[in-house]
Amino acid sequence: MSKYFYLSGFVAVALMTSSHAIASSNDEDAVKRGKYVMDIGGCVSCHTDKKNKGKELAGGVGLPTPFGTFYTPNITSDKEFGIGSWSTEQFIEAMTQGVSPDGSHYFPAFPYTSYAKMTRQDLVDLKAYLDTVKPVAKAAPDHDVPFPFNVREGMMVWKALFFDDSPFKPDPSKSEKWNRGSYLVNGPSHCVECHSPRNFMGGLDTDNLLAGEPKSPEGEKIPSLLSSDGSAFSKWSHTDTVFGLQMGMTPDGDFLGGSMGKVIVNTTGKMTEEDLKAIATYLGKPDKKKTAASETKSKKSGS
Amino acid sequence: MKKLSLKTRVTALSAIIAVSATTAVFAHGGAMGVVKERMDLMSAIGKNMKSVASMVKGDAKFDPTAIEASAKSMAEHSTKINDLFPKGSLEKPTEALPSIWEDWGRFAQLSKDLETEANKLAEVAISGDKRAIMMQFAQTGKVCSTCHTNFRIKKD
Repeated sequence: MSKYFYLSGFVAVALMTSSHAIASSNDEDAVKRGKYVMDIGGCVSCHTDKKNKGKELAGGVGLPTPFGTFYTPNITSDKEFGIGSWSTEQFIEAMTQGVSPDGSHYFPAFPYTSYAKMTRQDLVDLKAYLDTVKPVAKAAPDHDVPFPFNVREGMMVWKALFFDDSPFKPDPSKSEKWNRGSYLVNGPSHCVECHSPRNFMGGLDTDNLLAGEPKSPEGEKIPSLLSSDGSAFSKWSHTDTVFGLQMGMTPDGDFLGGSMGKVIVNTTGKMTEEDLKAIATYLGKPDKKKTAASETKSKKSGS
Repeated sequence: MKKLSLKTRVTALSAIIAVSATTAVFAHGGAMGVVKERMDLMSAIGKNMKSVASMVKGDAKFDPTAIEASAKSMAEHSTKINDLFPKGSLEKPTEALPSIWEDWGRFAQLSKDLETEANKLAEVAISGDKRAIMMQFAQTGKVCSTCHTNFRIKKD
């Protein structure tokens, strides 16, 4: 009895003195979740210049496009060269509207076209994490993009034509798993950005999303992810897909490399198995084992 | 129209046969010489990985002896990689990138890493510890991916 009394007394004292501690443990949770959001978004692939041993998230990676080479910015918490001075609202505006705090428009080499689908919670958490990233006081190189594509005002026209800023809408007729996969593929993980053909103005060909791109600006063939077109990927099973995203292996024993190699290291290889299964499900590869098991289960319960 | 002589027809026919036979032999879209040799070597390594993967994934019966054999075969294949990448050998349909020779030290190290990891896989295979085998399989695959990320470009 006295033991319980002692304990409750302790709890009361702890409660009185720890409102600050509780707040910071919430922050810790947000940072932890934000780290995972960064992983499913694969920010590192474009914002860390691994090739030249650049610091984590300090930018400077050159992205070749038909319009010129874009250099990714520093997104560390540095207040001058990074995004440390941004408020969470400014960050969300940049991610979902493609507008920087000074009001200028981003080029869609930065895939805000997909990030517009991200939930507010994910974005708030991501910012909380980015605020903990070690500041790097280094400016990224200027874009090497010739006229007229270097005119940022032109982006307003581009946005009016090709940017759909509507938030992610789950399809109620589909499973929760399928919807999670759809969110990842079209939102934070932005698979659609490389796995879809683009029109001559660099807009995604929305009628052929995920149909692949025969020749990327880097000269790679980006495969189709559709399950209906007889492509190599359409023959992958659910397990093949999860396994492939986890460690990069294809069903015929090859290992993916090139730009997907980076995605596997920085993004899909860090995803939870649940999320990988969700992606596979969304890509038309239902988890057969589970379906079979739940079928037998429902049969049993029915009989 | 002049009818072709029997001799001409036979020659033409044998030429066609010769050409089609050659095409059949050359897998990998017409690769020749060292490019073909290394593509075949990579395919052989891929076959080994595929065989182990099917067991790791649960598609095939788990057989530690077969895993050990595949791993040993990969380790042996890996020792041949460097010689099959003579400087500047970029003939079509190669997927090799010129960065191989700009960063030869790293490339050669990855070949060595493959040998090391494959040998480790052979060792854990004997132990029969499924989890350890799976982890080591992933470790081996990581070498494949790293090399393909830095030094290969998929064109089709």
